Amino acid sequence: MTLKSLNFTLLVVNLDNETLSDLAEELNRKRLMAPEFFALTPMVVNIAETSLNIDFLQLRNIVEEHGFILTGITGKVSEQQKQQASEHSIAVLHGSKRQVVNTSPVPEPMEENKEVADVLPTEQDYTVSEVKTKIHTGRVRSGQQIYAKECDLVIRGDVGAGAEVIADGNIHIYGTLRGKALAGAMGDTDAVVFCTVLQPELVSIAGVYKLSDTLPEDMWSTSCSISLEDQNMVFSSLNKI
Amino acid sequence: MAKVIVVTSGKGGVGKTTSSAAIGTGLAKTGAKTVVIDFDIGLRNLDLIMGCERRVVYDLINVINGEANLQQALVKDKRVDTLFILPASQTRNKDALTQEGVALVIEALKADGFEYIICDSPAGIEQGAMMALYFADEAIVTTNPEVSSVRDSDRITGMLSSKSYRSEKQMEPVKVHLLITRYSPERVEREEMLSIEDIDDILGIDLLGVIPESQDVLSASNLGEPVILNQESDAGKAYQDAVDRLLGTPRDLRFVTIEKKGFLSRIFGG
Ligand SMILES: Nc1ncnc2c1ncn2[C@@H]1O[C@H](COP(=O)(O)OP(=O)(O)O)[C@@H](O)[C@H]1O
Ligand SMILES: [Mg+2]
Repeated sequence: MTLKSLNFTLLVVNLDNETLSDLAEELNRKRLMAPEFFALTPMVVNIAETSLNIDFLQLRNIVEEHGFILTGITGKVSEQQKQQASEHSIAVLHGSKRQVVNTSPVPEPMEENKEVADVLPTEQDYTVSEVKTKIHTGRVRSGQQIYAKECDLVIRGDVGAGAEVIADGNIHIYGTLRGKALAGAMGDTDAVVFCTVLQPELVSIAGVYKLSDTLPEDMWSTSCSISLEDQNMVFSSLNKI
Repeated sequence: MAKVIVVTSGKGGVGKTTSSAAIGTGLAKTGAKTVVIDFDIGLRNLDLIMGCERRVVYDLINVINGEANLQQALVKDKRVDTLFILPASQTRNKDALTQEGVALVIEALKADGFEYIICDSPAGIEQGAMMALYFADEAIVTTNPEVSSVRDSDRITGMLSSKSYRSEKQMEPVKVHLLITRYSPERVEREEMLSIEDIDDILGIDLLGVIPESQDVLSASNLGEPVILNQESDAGKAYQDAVDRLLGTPRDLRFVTIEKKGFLSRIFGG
């Protein structure tokens, strides 16, 4: 037997100042967005900004009732909470944000007028990412689901009503989006959806979503990109840039 | 080389059985030995539409269970020499329809010299429908010009590309054809129905044919005579065109525009 260390990307749900029943509601919404995708998805609850006195047993029950698996908690976990969590076999995890690795220990603050060339990274400053873009050629039909794990997704073709395209990164659709597109599925709020013709059942970025009937009317059937600004969805035409 | 063709749709009542009977009959009329298999266990009606219900003794499940051999279960058509049907059981439970069992039956039919094996699928995406499409070389996806039917056809087309023998063995994909049935140009114009263009936009499947809504279909099924045998009927002609296209002969689409009869032709019946 060998012990190895591997990296995983996990879905993190923030328990801000919400109560556990808010959490239940949030999980319910998430699940309804893409029922098959989220079934039995491992999940970490971030208790960083919550001052709640958490009932860990109830937390686990809520997460499991909604079809997720509680992998652990993260955030500002007090000693007492650690103790309580361990009583319910809930791990305490310490996450690191996914970022480009910079070898210089303390990045210099960027000066306003610095020459561009100086700012550009030299080769050795960055480690080469192994993450590729997932490219799917052809229609995605009702009932089908395409998931790009930890990378961007490109669809060359239409995404039919009842179909789901999901990526941890950005989604590019060279065709008509009639089904659901969920970018930043693991919480990346910088993720963007691009599509040639927008007629979706649902678009979501990092869990924030809009259904077809709440979409800005003038964007229907247009080529556009969808991104997040302060938790609000921003639609912008690809033809007006 | 024998060809297995599934007639499927997802949705029920769209015209799968009507189409299986018509297209099976059309293929058999070319002299090719053809069998139509009814996969709709518990709800058999292919034999009614083909007018051979009184001659059914054994069925598909009997053959799968080894209770009858293929020759005993095949019912020979009275009108077309090279046409046979393999009926469904009306009583047995659907779990009897196993992949191994269906594989054996199809192998036996091929060994017996059948050139076309038409599988009339039940509705839905359950076991019966999956077994009907599993061994298909080609598929005729049957759709009515309405949103829910088109959506189901999209779904079943996805299944053909992921849940069939050909997909699992990474062979050349199942060749999919679209057959639009119960098309009414008048209702399309009134926007009560999707147009051919709308459907093509959503599905993007090669069009095999468009069968108009027609009273003759009901009369034909009451008579137990596949509508393609009635070449006076628009629906019969449209099915014949579809069979010709399936065999590689190009045919123009007919019966897809409103016939605007002039005053004179109305009076003189022109
Ligand atoms: N072109 C058509 N015009 C009018 N009625 C039709 C047409 N095609 C099918 N039907 C009718 O629709 C009903 C369902 O047809 P059927 O072939 O049994 O469908 P399925 O096998 O898909 O359930 C039947 O009553 C049939 O007579
Ligand atoms: Mg039927």
